[in-house]
Amino acid sequence: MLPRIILASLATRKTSAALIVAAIALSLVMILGIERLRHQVHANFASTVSGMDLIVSARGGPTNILLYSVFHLSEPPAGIEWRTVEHLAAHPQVKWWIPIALGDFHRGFPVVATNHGYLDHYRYGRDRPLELATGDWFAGPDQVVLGSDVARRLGYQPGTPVVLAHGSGGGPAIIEHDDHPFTVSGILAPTGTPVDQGLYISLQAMAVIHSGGRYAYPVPGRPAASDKPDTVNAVMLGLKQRTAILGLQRELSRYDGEPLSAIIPGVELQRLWRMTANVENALRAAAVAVFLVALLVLISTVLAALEGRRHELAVLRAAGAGRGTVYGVIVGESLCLTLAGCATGLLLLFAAQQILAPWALMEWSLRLPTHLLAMAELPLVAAVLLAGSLAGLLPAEKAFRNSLADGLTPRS
Amino acid sequence: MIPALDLEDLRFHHPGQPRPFIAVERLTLAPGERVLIHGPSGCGKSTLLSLVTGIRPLQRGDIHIAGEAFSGLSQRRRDAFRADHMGVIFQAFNLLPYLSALDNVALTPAFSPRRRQREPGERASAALALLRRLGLDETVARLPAHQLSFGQQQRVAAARALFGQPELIVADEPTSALDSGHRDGLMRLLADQCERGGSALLMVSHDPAVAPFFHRSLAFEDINRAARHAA
Repeated sequence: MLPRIILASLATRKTSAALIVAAIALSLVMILGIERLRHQVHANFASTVSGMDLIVSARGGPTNILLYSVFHLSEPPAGIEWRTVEHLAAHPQVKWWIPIALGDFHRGFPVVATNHGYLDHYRYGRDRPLELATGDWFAGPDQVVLGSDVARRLGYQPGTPVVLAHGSGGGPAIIEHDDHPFTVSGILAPTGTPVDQGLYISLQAMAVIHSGGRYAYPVPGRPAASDKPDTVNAVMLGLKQRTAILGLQRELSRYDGEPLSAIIPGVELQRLWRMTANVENALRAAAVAVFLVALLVLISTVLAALEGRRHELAVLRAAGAGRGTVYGVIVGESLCLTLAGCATGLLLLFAAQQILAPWALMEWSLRLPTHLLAMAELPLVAAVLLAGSLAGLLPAEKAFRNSLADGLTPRS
Repeated sequence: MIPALDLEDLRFHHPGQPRPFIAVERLTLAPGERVLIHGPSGCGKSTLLSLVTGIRPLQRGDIHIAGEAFSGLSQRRRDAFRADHMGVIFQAFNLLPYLSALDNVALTPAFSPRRRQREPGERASAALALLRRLGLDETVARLPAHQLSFGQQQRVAAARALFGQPELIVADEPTSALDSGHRDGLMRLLADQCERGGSALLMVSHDPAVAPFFHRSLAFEDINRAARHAA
């Protein structure tokens, strides 16, 4: 009987009920949306350093090393010498190694000079290797491989000629290496990581284009035939045993050849998240504030409706309804509204995810979640439901008192 | 014989007023007895009924209903006892407008298993049978209450109060909004059904014309000593 009373009564107040449901739905979209976005950004960053045990660079701040080497978000420091790279490659604990040299850009996209190890060993997501969507990995100093975003944004195909520039991405001071044009040899499949925004050339090519520029090649005037540049910016390492990571990190910090820093990407990522936690918490607080406003709307609307429901509640009381029933009617109504708000919010968020997913992947390389409700989110949704139900307690007590005071005296 | 209602030395003050608004020394209804209390509007008849039904807290006095010391019960027990032993009919706003007539009647057994047991058969069919006895067919019974005429609404309210044959029916001006034909019709049904179920009826009205349907008819000013003192 109680559910029937609640639903039938709500049906007579459809407009205000719909407004409350909308307020709760939107606040749930905010709360859950921020949580999911945060989680997804973390997952995306983590997926970028999947399987990478150490990043070795010239001595510098660990966060900076992580940001420039993997995410191309910061300026690279000075390079490390090639013989250091050879030392690392020959180290008994090292399973694979990827050298990278940075500094060039093409139309704002970073150019990464590396070797075949990048295609062979780089992993993203859950240990997924890179794949070429079309064409081949570069085979010579005049070939370039494009990340999927670069190819899509610039409309390049295999065979398109490309001119690279030195400097920070698009300012006036860039030097175009137009004496050394490249040809697109292949395009990588999308990964949803910064890999999609890079252009990949050989270390040899990097040395050649810089031979007349800032990083003078040792033998001036002679085109490079060697695959050994003088410096690279960083080396990504995969070890044979993960237990050796800390030992090797310590060992490299005491390396004799030159001052080095070796960072563990996962650890640095955690450090980075601790730094951004304040902003995330501020966002969360804003979302919670929105939800509290929705709760106040709920309370005030239910309270306002009580005036018109005096007779209804007096009838219930006279028919024998006690405190439990009156509370049941009012709190049950709040619960119904919150439940409907949560369901609407989840569906809205789900729909938004489906609609925005292609766009977010293209614009931000961000893979949006595809689920309706994750197990881990249940406590949050349960808390919202509980809060919504509790919001009915105040009006319920008032209703109970009102119905007593009004008693049998009908007022029109 | 245990009286259906026995109230003794009842007092009620409005907050801040020095003199009592209601002071009734004794009022007793035998089982099945129908008593009318008549008097002008605003004299405190409805307040008296809200005290009898326990919806308004009692300030002083004793009320026994069907032998139970009703006024000594806790709020919770009073609510349960009212559901089990009393039927209440108002002047207006008697029904939950969004429920069907049938569901409005079914409110009673929903709150009182005891009264559910006292009607034969399944809850809905018992409610329907009662509505039929009061002259409402099944089509009408399935309509939402707000679509019923006023006279029909009062009969549904009567059916809800009568369901499960409670010891005491309390009615607050149930006929005041009806014309004389409908008034007499409803009173006849109410009297018949009280007779049939053995329920006592305590009704207040400003309309002395309903007196023939009662065993006893009392003027409120005669039983309310507070009114006498004031005069």
